[in-house]
Amino acid sequence: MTRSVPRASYWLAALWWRVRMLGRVAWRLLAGVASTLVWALAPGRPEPGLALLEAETFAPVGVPSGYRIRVHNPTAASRRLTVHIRGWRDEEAEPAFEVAWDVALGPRASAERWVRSSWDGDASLVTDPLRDRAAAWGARPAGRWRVEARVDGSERDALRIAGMLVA
Amino acid sequence: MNILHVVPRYPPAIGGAETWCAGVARWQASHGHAVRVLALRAVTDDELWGDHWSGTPRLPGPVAVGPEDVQDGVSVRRCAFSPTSFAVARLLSRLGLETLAWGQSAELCGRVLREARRAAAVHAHWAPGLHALAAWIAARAARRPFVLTPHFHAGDRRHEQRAVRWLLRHSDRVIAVTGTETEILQARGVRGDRIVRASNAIDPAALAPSSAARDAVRTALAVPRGAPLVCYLGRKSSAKSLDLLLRALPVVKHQPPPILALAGPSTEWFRRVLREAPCPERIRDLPALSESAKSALLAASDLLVQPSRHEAFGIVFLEAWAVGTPVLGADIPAVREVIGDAGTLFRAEDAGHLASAIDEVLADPVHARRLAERGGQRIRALHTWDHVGPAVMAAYPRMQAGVLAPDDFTAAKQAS
Repeated sequence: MTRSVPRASYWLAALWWRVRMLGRVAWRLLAGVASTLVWALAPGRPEPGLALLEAETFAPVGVPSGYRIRVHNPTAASRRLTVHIRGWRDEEAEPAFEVAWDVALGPRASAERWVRSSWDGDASLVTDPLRDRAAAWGARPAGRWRVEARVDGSERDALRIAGMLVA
Repeated sequence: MNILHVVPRYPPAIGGAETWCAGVARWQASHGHAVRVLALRAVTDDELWGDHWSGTPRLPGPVAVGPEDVQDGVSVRRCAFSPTSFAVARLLSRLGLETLAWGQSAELCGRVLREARRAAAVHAHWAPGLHALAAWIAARAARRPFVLTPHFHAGDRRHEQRAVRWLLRHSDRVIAVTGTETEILQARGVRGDRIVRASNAIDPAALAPSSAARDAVRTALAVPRGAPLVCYLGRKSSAKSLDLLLRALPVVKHQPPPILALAGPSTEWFRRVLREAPCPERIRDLPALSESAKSALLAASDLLVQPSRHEAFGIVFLEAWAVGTPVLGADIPAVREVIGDAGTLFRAEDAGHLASAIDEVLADPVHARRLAERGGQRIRALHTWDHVGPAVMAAYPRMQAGVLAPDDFTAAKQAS
């Protein structure tokens, strides 16, 4: 009799856990189906914005590295955007560089630029990519870099990348 | 023709299915088709298949993608997705549907339902995953033909699940990239008349490195004078058997010992394996490389090793041949067919045999280069997009005055 009490409470706890799990699954399933229907029936208007932010992982300090940014306008009207690109060394609060790019995009058009920086406080916006430098592959780690791009200060659609600073 | 492709990830994400999908889509766009791609907004393996429940913060990588893009005339929509909850993953696993427990995206499911109606054909890539099932449902709802390129990995748990086999059997056309894959698909119940062969391809011109790159790469990687450079290119996931290659490295007898360069996006699994690897002083761990850096590394290498035990094709063999680098792959049916007499094979999952195969290739570099040259001839004869593109189009329905022609798709459906 005394042993059946813990057994019963164990059984009840297991049952309660299963019911909770099933409840969560049912809720997720319902939310997923509702959300799918919303996307199928009213997907929302496409907006111009960032399409790509990329760089080589290793950035040698004191030597220019390139950070590629592409924006795309999926709408049928011309649009004007301002892209803000900022880079940080390690966990520093103040950005090591900050660049703004004003771009006019025709209907369904894309545009691309590279930010060139040596991580010495310098940065410039250029139209050509840098040639790859294999020399950075074997260099000694000297911290991390982070770069963020966002359109007109919008937080939601910001793109963030990170890599390694090498000496 | 309006063509809708549905794929888990799209380049710059790295992977065989991603590269194949992008190559086909680019070829179609360049031949006047309106091509739309729906993918997930993910770049790395860990984003899709990593441990989402441990709460470990994930650092961003060197590539991030936005929701809308146009690449080489191909319109790409990358859909938001959420990691699967623990409860849902556990339930799907109990039901034998683990294959649906990743990359869940209401946006992708909703958009494919909507956009399938505007397409003449729906083409899904990579069989496991909710994206392929959603594409099948959308194609059926819109009465459009459904084409699947599964990139089937025989023996891989994710590919061998019931849900994947069901989808394979219920696709209007299944594209196999090798003859081996054709046989594997037939063994899993796909009707022979529904399988279309379309190989893999590369653009050799895009891989031509400068002659100065070889020395620069070897200097950068601190390869000692006279030591060979062996490289691996690809995702560093457990499915690629990199642990086997790391075990084989100390057993290689060649003097001076080779340097091993591993380039590609890393995973938590690989970082663990690398920490315990023997002779770390001979390993160079490189990140994912740009196309030009990748071809420079391949051209600087004396051998490319692809130890993976699950491969549908292995496009990296073509990339190595394009720059004249010898290749060594695991002796599994798909790789055996792709490499043929233009490279060397080792017994899959046998580190000792892998080490002796590396020794064998490095011992006779002239013979190895001759094999690589044979591979280059094979690319020109079989593996360009102008060969593969028309083969893919053969899997699609024909159009007559803007509407679907009453072709063999209808007959196939009626017969089933």
